[in-house]
Amino acid sequence: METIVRDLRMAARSLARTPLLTALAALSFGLGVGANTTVYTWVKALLLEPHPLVHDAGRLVSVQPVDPRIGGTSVSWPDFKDLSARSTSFTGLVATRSIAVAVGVRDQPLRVHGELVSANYFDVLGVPLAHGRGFLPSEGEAPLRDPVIILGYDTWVRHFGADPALVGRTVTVNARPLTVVGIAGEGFYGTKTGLAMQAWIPMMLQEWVDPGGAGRLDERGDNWLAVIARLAPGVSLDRAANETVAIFAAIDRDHPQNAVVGGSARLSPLWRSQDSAGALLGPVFAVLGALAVLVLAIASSNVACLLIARSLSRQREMAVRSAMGATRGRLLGQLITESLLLAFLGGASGLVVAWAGAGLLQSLVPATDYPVRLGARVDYGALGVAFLLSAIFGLAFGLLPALHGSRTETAVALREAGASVAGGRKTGRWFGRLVIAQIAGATVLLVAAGLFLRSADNAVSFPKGLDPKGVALTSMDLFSAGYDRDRGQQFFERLATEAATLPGVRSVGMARRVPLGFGGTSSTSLEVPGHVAAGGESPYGLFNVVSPGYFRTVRTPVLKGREFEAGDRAGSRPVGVINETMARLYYAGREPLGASFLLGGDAVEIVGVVQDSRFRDLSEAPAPWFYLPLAQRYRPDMTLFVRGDGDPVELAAPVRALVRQIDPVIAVVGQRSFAEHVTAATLRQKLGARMLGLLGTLGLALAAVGLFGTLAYRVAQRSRELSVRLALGCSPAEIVGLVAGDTRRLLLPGLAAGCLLALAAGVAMKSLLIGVSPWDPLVFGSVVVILSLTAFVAGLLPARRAAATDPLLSLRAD
Amino acid sequence: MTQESLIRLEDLKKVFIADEVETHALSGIHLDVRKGEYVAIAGPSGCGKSTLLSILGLLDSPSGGSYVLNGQPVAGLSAAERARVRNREIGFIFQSFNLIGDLTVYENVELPLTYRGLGAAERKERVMASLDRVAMAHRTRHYPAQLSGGQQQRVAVARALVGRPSILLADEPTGNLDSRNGEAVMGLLAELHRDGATICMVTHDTRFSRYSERTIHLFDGRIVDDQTAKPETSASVA
Repeated sequence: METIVRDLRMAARSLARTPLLTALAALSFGLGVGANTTVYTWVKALLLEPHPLVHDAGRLVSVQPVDPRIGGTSVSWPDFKDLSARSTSFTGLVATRSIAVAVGVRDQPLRVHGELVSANYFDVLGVPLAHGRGFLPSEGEAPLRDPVIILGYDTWVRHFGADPALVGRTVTVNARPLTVVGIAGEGFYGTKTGLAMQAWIPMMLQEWVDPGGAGRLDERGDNWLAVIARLAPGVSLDRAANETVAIFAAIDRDHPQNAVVGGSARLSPLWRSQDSAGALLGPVFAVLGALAVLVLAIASSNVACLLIARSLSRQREMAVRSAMGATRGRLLGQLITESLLLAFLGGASGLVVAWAGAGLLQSLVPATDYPVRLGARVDYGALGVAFLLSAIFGLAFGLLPALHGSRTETAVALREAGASVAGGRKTGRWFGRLVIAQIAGATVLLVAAGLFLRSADNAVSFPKGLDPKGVALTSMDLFSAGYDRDRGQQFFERLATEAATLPGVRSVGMARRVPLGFGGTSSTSLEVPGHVAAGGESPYGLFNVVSPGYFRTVRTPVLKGREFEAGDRAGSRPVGVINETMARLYYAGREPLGASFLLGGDAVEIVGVVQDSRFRDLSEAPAPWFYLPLAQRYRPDMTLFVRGDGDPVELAAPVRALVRQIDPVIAVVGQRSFAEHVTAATLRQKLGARMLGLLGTLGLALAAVGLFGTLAYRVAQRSRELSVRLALGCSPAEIVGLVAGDTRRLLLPGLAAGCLLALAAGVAMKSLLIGVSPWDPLVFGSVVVILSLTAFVAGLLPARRAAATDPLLSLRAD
Repeated sequence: MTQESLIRLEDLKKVFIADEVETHALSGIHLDVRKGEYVAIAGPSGCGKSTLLSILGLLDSPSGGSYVLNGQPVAGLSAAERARVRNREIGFIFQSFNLIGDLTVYENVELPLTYRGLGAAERKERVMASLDRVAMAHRTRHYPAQLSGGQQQRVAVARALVGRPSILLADEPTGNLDSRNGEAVMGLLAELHRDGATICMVTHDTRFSRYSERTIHLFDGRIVDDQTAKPETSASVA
């Protein structure tokens, strides 16, 4: 023990006496460890422990019926009840639906995102309550009988002053009094990874809080609920999936009018369910994680170079210790202690980096109506990861210098006339290999960063089928303001009319769903008379509800016919607009204009065909879309699109004032520019570009330092040779050429290996790239030029030093 | 070998091989050093003095012949055993002092004892006694860079003494000192010898070889002369 303490004390003192080298090494390590710890905090927050406070979250699964045409879908309340009753693989199933409600706080409506849930929600999830209780089974029995609510901890603290007496009191929710029966435990945000829910309302109150309308709980054909289930002890995911498929098949047999041809079901662990933030960001996390490890490896090899150089300058000290009776093991122990101490210093600085980086993810989230919460925090786990990484890499890369340093030729080192620069060819080769590896690593990092940067750039101009520039968005929810259909229609019509007259406004439209942001899609089965489905598949379509002027405002070209107009009113013949993919799929060889499709048995006449546009992300495959007019398919939650002449930000205040002027009760849910909104679709590319830009720059700097150090070392090692050459008539320019040769010998193999590795890395992350190939010549060419220039600069100083060698001084040195 | 023999070398050889060229640094060395003897190894530069001292100090291995230290043949010792023997049997004094810059005077002197695993109290007692012996006890907290060359060499002598070794090996101990400090160090070694220390010193300075009672002359790696004489004191030299 005493030996360890002494070694630590000596190590600390030794490091303190070379503050610059120590700082450089600790910083290198710190940035490498910090990058890894940051990625770890993100992965932990969104993948490893996305549902804090949920008991045994690993046994929770997402249950989804699968429509072969569109993938995972939702279930109706009657189907959910049947599934719950028939299933034996689960200890409990819960149904949830995301909602947004207006909660009265000091007489002002506060928009709160929450979940409409089956009454067993808190019991099945095993979430503790901070105050009060969960829902009672009786509160899940009769519609509108038990008006209760459970609030989120953050909302309770922020808006109700953390008053425990709130439990038992009523709050107004969508203008109706609900009794607060509980406050969810601190840190619980619901089951949607990446979203922060703050209110939970029993399913029986659906009519009051869900715009889907009365009677929805009885409609078997209305699939609107997500299902989460807890696997029973000893039941595997496969067994539960098989049983669930069988139950859905039985339900389809019992209710063939709602059956999906070829329908199935899938179960997936809740943390990677299809609509989670983890599923969205998982692939980019994998890339970032791998490249962050690469940065740490580069940083570590750089530290190894520094430590080797340091060990060379301490050969005499090691020789003295050896002469005093220190065994090689003792010397090794002491040197490894120094490496580890240095690594732990790096780990500590890495935590600072991670602390700063934890919030980066949230900062990249664009303005949205959704309560996106990607916040990660540095906790004990991150602390452990940082220091574990430090220990592993410190030991791995500290061992080489330690072995080198402890293998001192004692008798030689102790002699006064020993060479001023120790270390031989073997050491030089080690330096060389490490630097080649660093250059290769930096190449991979820079290429990856370049590909992501180009993807993020391309995303702006990538053809989307619409033009987000110059459009301001204003979202509002009339349902929570207590509007019925007629009042709502009147409001929207007046709003559109008056918004069009605002100064600088060129066009106005409205849509239920805003393309290319956070948020879901709606899809439904269709009947298309005259269409013969291949393989028995029935037609389907994704759909949006829009107002007249929408396509003109978002600049989606109308290819045939017209867009909606004021004459498309409630009571007039139902009309629709389809996209070119739907026209191609279901109206091939015939004129779609004037044709109809059946929606829930009602015929919808096609009055226009618009160009395809992207909706979920930029790399999605074209899908059949149809659009219905707001006047005929009223929705209370709409977004106003206003295209103006100038900056859309300047339109926000007049539009908000207009809404307030028409009816002050209506809360504007959110305002942002369309261009800002669509950046959500490129979150992965932005995150990748930002992080890889940092990692790439870091890798470049580390490789430059490594290259400089190695060349400086080689020049010092060859000083006698160089002085002899100079004495024999070699010109300084030729000496510079010799050093340049050294640079070239390190650079070329590093670049070659790096380009090959970067090619493989690019192919691996192809799905994340937009409009750029994994072997983009511009990116690769730029990286080669950048690294070559960096190498040239790094080699300049040693080369100049070599050229300035005084032949006499060097010859006198021995 | 007499009973007092501390070092015995028989037909010792040292050959350096570099790029297929053999250099015979030492050839046919036969040497006995008795306990309490003060031996100077003299000779011109390159004659093999330092190589011989390195072998005596177990810092280097001979290419042939035998070496018995304090009755123990050292040829078959492992690296760890050699380190242990160095720690317990040998005290080194170097031309360039070889104090460790990161350690204080106290810690430098304590160094051999830390490798021996002695308790802190005993280490302290021995370190202070050694520093007292060389009149440096008042500088325990200083770093080597804060001391003069002569003071540094006195600290180095204290470090050599602290382990109570069987023999002190000194390699040109005055080589980096001015004449006044050189005399002082030689006087210190002479004092130690009078108190019973066995000393083997390499020097090429004939002034200082006269301090020893026996001088061995090396030339081209061979012993060419082995003279025994009454050592002179520092006062008489001065």
